[in-house]
Amino acid sequence: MADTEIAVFAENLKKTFTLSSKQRKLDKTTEKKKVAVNGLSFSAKKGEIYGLLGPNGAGKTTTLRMLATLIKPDGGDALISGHSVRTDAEAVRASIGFLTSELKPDDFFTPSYLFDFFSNLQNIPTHVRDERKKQLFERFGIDEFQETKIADLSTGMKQKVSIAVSLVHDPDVVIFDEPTNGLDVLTAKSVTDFLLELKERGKTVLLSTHIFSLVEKICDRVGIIIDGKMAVEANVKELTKEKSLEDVFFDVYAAAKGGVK
Amino acid sequence: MKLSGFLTILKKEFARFFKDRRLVVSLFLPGLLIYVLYSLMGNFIVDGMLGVDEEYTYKVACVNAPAFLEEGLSSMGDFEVIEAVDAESGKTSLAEGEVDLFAVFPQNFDPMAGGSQTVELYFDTVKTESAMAYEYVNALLSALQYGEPRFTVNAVDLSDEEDMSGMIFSMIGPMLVMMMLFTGCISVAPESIAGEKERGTFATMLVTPVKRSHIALGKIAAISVIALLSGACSFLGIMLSLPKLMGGEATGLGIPSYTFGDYALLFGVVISTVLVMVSLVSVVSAFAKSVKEASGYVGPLTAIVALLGISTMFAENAPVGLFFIPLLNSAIAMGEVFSFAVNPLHAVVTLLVNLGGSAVLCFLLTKMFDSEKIIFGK
Repeated sequence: MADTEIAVFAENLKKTFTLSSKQRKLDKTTEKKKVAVNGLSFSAKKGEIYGLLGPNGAGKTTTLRMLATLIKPDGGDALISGHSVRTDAEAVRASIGFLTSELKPDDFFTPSYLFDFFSNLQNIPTHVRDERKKQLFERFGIDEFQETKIADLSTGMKQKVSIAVSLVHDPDVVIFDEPTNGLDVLTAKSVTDFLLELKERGKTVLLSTHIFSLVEKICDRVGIIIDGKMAVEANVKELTKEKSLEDVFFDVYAAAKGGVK
Repeated sequence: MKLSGFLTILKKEFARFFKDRRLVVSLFLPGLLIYVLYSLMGNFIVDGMLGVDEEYTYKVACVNAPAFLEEGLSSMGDFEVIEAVDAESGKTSLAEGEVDLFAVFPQNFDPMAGGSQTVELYFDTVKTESAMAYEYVNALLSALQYGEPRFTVNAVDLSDEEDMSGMIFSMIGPMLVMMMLFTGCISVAPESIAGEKERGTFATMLVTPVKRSHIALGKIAAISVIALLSGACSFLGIMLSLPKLMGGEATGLGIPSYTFGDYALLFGVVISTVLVMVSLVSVVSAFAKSVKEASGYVGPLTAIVALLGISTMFAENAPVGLFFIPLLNSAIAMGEVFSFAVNPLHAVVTLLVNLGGSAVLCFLLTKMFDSEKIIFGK
């Protein structure tokens, strides 16, 4: 992979989970292993918004967790800003901002404290940190709540704090798992607007979602994942020339699964 | 190795704790309460503890017992005066608790004669009956020389207060210290590790470039300091109230006068013990998905620590092999310090084993922080 224009490059990523007996009962299966991601390859260019689209259980979150180095791939590898998630996890973590609803800011602290804490973990000099904090807090309207405990903030404001805190190091690649899940329309719009701003600033945004409209609205390219495999990878505009993304998705899904149930 | 990650985690853990008034109070209040309650209890308990049964017959061994002795004592209570063969056998009987007082009178003692007569009284203040017997006999002899002193009474307390206090401290001290430290530790560690996992805040640190080992070390160091402070507070409460609880003013019991070396050694053992406890509870908490689950896992550990704490009572002359078992070694080593029987080899082995054990557990915790099953296990 010599293309310097590629920010995220995943090749043949694989991840298998061992199912507990409880999980097997829930899934009504006797299989002890579940392949979550099955040889997934894709690439996201610098300065673009790339969407991983798929139904629940398709392997989107697992893929993003592998890219964020929170879990290790069983096979394949991914390069983020040229760093391998397998062999250079710390460098990967220094170049990404990772956001998921599962990662939450500690309720006990204030937005300002958390911003400083994560800046320190990212080794950001104090003057840069203060400047960045001012910018991001103003951008999201956190400034007036910056000394309020997270526990006392609204859900939308908490999500904004999470975004600001994940960007303390101004990462080149922002990985966002289901960015608008559980948000009211106003906060969701604020988040999507911000993703477009990041793109304008030359950042690469990789997001996972099952919301077609979000992909159509902000993504440059999309990868449709079905059962841990890449079913289609294409430019969103080209893919939706003749049909809506929803129709395209169901066609792809039906082709992969032999029908839509 | 850059320590910025470790220090950042350490500071955050301190902030998480010390800015939470509820947590601070819950950790330091027990020490204060223990002091107040034990002091109050002490004032009431002591009166009962020092009493001697009215039906009790005091046994007094005597060399050259004068005739007036038995007669005089009988007016004060039930006394049995036994003739002792010689001074040695009398002291032995007293030491073995066969008699309550041993008295040596000069041959043909005449309380009215004057001159250089000396009466020797041997007793043991640690035993209430012995102390009371001394009081009676001494009162009788004082009455005999009312007006002018005609003979000398040489009172010899055979009890060694230091030894006695040391013995009591060595019995209850290790258990108290172990339990206080462990209580401090389990108030913080499950919250800091399982709590962070439960609330989803833990993984936010895992997606930063900070090393897993720094997160583990930072947490263990912070929890250790907090557990140590909390343990010290509770322990201080107990130590300060102990003389009152055990009737210090009346029995002469108090905090034994340990040397600086004893305290330094105790401090070393305590620090190494806290590190083992915190690392252990952290590893156990890391397995749990919630604080509640972690508390469930910690329950049996609490029982084990209490058992190890009292095991010092049965571990006199402990072989060096026992000091290779973490926490048990702490309890026995503390017992040795408290009873003025410090064994440098035991102390060194204890420190090294505990530090080594903590290092292994910390390494394990680092590996666990890297394990997706531990972090995302459902």
